[in-house]
Amino acid sequence: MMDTETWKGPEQVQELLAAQSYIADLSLATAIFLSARLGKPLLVEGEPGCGKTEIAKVLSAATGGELIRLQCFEGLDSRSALYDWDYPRQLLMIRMHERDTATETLEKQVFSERFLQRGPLLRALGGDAAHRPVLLIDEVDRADEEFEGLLLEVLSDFQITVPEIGTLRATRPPLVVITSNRTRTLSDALKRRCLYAYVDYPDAEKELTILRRRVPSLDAAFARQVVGFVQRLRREPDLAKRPGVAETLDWAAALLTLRIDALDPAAVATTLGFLIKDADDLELLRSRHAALLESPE
Amino acid sequence: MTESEGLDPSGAITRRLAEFCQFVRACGLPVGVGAEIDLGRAVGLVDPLDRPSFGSACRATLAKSPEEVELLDRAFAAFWSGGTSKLPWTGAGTAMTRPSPVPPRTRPTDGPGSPQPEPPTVSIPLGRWSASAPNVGHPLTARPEKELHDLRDGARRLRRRMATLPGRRRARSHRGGVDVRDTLRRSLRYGGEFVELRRQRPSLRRGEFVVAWDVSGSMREHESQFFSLVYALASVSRRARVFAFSTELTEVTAEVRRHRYRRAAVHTSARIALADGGTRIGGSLSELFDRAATLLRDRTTLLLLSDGWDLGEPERVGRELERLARRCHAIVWVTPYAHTPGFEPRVAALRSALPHLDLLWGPEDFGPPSRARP
Repeated sequence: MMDTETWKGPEQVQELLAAQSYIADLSLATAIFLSARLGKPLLVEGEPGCGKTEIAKVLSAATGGELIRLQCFEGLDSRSALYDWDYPRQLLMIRMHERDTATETLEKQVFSERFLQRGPLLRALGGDAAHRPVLLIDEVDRADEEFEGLLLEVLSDFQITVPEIGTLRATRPPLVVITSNRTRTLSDALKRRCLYAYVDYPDAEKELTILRRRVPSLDAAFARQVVGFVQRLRREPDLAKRPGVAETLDWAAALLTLRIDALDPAAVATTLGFLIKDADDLELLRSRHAALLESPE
Repeated sequence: MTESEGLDPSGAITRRLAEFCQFVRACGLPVGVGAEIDLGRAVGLVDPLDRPSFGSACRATLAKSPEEVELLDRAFAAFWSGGTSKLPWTGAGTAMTRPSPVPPRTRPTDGPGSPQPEPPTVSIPLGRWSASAPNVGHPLTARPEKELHDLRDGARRLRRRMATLPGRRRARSHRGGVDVRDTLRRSLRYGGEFVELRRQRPSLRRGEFVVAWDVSGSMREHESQFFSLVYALASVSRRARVFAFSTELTEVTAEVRRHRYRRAAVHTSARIALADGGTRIGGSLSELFDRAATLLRDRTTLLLLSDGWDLGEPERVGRELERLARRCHAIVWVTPYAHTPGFEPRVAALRSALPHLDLLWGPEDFGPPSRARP
């Protein structure tokens, strides 16, 4: 476990991530390094299944910091993300002490940190000084624009204001990774507060390295064949959803489980659902996959 | 630029970085002062003489989208290479002698013996003016404020009409299930007594728009009116994406959404400047599917703004729309001639599209309800 303050440069970050079986290019490693050392959130955009979420997980494993995940969705509000009051316990407290305690004292007790239910953002500010927690704000583009406004105070000052208690500040800013699939444009205000990295589909060599690391029991020649097929598949026109690295890994694991050690049209037809997750795309490829197997790289 | 101060006592690196940021801005990348400071701090942490690391640091701090990363890479190569370089914001062709955004000014007192800066090499297209030649570019003229207001109301009406599915959000309501959490919270006001029951029910999902706007030659006379409509649609739908097409597709969401109406018109006009001539609706829809399939969901309404004149095969329009219709909530075709007396969809592309359309509207349908079609 290595503290982020002792990181020397992007190359060291590459090594740390590689030790967790995550292959990052220099550009991504530099962005992660600068994000950690400058204390700024890292916004990672890219195609689904290309390892954006994984960055936060491997950072957590590499630094020993707790991974705190906030999965964004439409309708996500401050109560789920920041904090809420524990109303049933507050009510119980009022009922127990309403006869023997003055109203003002009771109010102070009821609205104290004891009754505060911390959401992921508030929990991320309360990490210990030795290990910076890793805050993953996943798929921020799924949340409403208003939610981005709520993030601004947290991401620029690493503090949250609770009206009944006051402002709660982070002892040490967490490592923040924000991911987006680009289904909508994020606000300029949010982007300004972040460093930026774009994760694209990997080239064949990089994907092969990832596959060999993640599924080590796969035969080298077969792994090359698998990667070659996926690379050709990504270049196919008219696909609504192209397979990401996650799909390649799932497919390879499935082939291994089924004891298939060479790709042929029958094997691909049986397992194509691991790569293609769209009914129209599956229909389209039913007639094409045999030709794809034979086409040169 | 605190971290670089120790490494740069003379301030030469800081000055050069500031020049680079100026250059990047001149290339069209909106680099803020905050990002510039981040770059200065980053240079204290990575070696500025290690070109790959320094380039990556520039990317992480200055760019905010893949398009900006691409532009920044070109600007980086032009600025830090020295010697003759191509202007990074023009694809190929225009060249200049020094990668500086501001050409050196020639002072009037300079005598013939004074060293003159090399004039930048520019290529100027030669041609001859003709009164019968078609207009070039897309001059989007401003429409009356009232019209824009009406169009926005019409766009809101369409969005409400298309929002029919229940969403995950719940809204306070007089009817519906009891909101236990809110009822408990409210009871604290009354010393823990349940005086009011708070209720809630699911609210409808917001409709979202994806707009495909035909900017080919045949739509020229309706262009300003349709731009107003595009602007109105983009301003009422939070996740709206706007694509302009003629023979190829260009995304203009940023140009339309980031600015007020007049500036948006200027920026959009510049972005679609090269689009002209004929239309390939089928091909453009296919490209739209490739680029925006993940945007098309059960809440998305696809608006196709076109007169239907098409150079490509009309059957392809039908095929592409059938594919798109399976992914979106509704498809609305807006043609400038829908309210012309005696209008019938006779254009081949429009006829082939008809089975897959939910609405065939004219821009007038976005106007005040009295003028709109019932």
